Amino acid sequence: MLRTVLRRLLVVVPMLWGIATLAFCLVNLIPGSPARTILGDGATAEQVAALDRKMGYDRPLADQYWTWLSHVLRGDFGTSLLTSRPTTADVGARLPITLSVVAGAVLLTVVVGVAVGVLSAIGGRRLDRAGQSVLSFFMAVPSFWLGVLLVFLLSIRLGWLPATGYVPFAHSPGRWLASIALPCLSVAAVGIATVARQTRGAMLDVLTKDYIRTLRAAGVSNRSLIFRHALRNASIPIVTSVGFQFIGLLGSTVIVEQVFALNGLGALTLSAVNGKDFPVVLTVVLFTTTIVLAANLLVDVANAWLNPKARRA
Amino acid sequence: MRVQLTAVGLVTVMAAGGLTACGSSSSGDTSGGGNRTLTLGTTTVVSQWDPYQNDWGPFLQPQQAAYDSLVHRNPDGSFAPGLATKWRYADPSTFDMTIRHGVTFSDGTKLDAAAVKANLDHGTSVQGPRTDEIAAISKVTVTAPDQVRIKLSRPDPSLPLVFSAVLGQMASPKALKDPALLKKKPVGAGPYTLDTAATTPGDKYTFVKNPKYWDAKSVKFDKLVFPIIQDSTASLNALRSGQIDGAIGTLDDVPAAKAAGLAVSSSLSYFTALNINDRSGRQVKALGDVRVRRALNYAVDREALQATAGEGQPTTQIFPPGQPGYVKALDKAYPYSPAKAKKLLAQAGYPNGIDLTVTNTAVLFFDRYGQALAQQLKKSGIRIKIHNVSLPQYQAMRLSDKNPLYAWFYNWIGTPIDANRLLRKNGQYNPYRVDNPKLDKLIDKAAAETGARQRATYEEISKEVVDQALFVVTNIGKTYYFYNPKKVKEMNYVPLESLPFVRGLEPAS
Repeated sequence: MLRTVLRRLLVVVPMLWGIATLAFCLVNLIPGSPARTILGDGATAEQVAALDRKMGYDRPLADQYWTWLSHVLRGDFGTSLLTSRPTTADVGARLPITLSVVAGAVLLTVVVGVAVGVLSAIGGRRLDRAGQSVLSFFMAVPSFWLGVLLVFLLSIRLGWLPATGYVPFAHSPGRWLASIALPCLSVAAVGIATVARQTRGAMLDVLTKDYIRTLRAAGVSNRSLIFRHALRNASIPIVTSVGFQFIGLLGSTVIVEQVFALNGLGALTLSAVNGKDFPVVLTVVLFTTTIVLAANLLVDVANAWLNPKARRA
Repeated sequence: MRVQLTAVGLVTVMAAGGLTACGSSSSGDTSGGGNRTLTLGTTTVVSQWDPYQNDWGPFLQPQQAAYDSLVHRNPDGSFAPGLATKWRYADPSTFDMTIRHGVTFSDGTKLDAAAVKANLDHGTSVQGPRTDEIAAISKVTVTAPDQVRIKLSRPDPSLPLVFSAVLGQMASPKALKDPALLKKKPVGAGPYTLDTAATTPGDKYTFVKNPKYWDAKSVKFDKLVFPIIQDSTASLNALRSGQIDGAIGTLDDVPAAKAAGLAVSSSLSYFTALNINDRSGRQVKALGDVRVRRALNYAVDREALQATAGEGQPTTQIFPPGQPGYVKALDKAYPYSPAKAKKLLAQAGYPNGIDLTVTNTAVLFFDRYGQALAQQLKKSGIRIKIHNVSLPQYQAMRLSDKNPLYAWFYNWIGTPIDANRLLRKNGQYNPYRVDNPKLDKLIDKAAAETGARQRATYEEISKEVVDQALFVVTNIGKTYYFYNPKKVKEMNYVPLESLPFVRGLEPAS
């Protein structure tokens, strides 16, 4: 397994470099100038050009790229053009918000998705059919729409949960949970449905295997049969799927953050792109890329642990 | 955040507001007399606290909490004493102020004439979104411990107005020397101070009452919280669920807000227009011909366009009702008439009509507005090709000298400043640097006048602009603010401002 991890880690470095370089090029395709954003409409074209010059944005792109890359290699991600704070501070302040939602949603996906999947697989035909209809509905519903619906019902009508905003965990764990409950629920719905279907399929598949029949004949208890034997074998595709969910959620929070007024990474990226705040955009890209690569690695490790065959692959 | 300056201009006018009190509702804070909190959603907050490098408009509420200004403005727009107790123009190029006694900044520094001079000297040495408004200041002198004299390089009648907004906000002179400090927090003599422990930049800002504020008895809320909410639906939801007590709203949301028991205030704060950057026809020859520009004005049906701009009113002029320069009769100057438009085009040598390209962006109200304009102009033989660009690209292009014609809106500040920005040869909104000596001369003349005379000159300017059809101004738009009337008494707009002021707000009960 160690070799698997090492091999993956070796790929990470060139991958990060490639993505960072691509991001740098894309960011420079964003029209407009940071100076215009900073100075506003009140500034003349001449003043804007002067500030661009001062900040070094009139230099050749290759030149700018080299400066940026050499700083990043030294761990200096630069300062935001708009807030003058280190970009890592800006990203660091927003990351917990996004990660709370994404991690909460993944947890919800796994727990509820697997439970529903297992129940569908072993609970008899009627339960299975009912489950399938509900799952189809949730797979088809866009998360932002579900979010709006949940806010209307649970926040405005019933007043149970806050409609918007984020409370840091350190301030109040209870309010933190309340603040991320609805966003988690709305982005997790599709994932829950997907994972439940996958779990159901894999379980049904595994439960017809010969070794299960043998174990059953040997008198292994039903609970042990399902959780220790069937589910463990069924979980390989589920883990992979959850890994993808996580990565997908990281990207899709932009919209949900808008709906719930969560000023996470999505909101930060949006304002940075609009304001041509290159350093912030690039730092966000590097951070999220790292997180995605780490998630992939985790999935690989989990798969290797669950499936000895994969360790040698 | 400064990030969004221009975008924010757009957002303020058309889009949402609001933020959320994190987590549980703020309504619990209303009961006791000891801890009154007011939570106001905001679309954006300044990204640093040097007033001279900040904009106003959509940013004004948190700035007004942190800083006090030399001049205050009453709800009707008239001026009132602030950190300056008295002021007068000794002559059109000399402005004298008496500074209030016994005021200290939050870092303990005393406010006096020298501190005001330090602020203005700093302001004229840096470049910010609004510093064009104090460009006429040539020298600031301390004539007594509480007396400041400002010499101007040209007459400028707008100083009381300028000093009632961001450029009149006094920061501690000690802090001005420490730019790193002002990047983190405001150091002013305002009614509140920023509670950095309860603030997350870019997400939520908390201000607590400043017990040393010179007019502390006028401060009725102990805490002001500004959560950032950019999406208008999220903002309305936060209001409806009681998480926030006020936020900017949109025209589309007014019925829902009223149905939810929220109070709605509004202000005529901007005009929408098909703006002609290339007024001299340098790039698009036809636009240099006054007959073509007049034809454009006759070809728009302002009544029909009003729906895209909210509940304002159709207009043809660049100055708003109630402000110097507005002439009611001018609004009828170009009644909708495709026949007249066609005739003028024919006279200008375009009997078969003309083709024009309008830069636009398919977001916010611009999409509706641009489409509607193009439809209307077609009936007069003016074939519009809409060149849609992304919002960032639009921001970048709008005020460039390679953008002859575009759909836009303009947020008013005040007639003298608006005249400078829109009309002067070096005005920000004249990127083609079109020279109109007649207008420049009239603007200079008005600046040196006062009272009725000055009004008459600004009216003359307005007539000239409309007669020369330098703009295709179509409508006045309204900005809306939603607030919880059970929580806060009244949140009305001061004329032309983008948001209600936070100074003087009172609890409802």
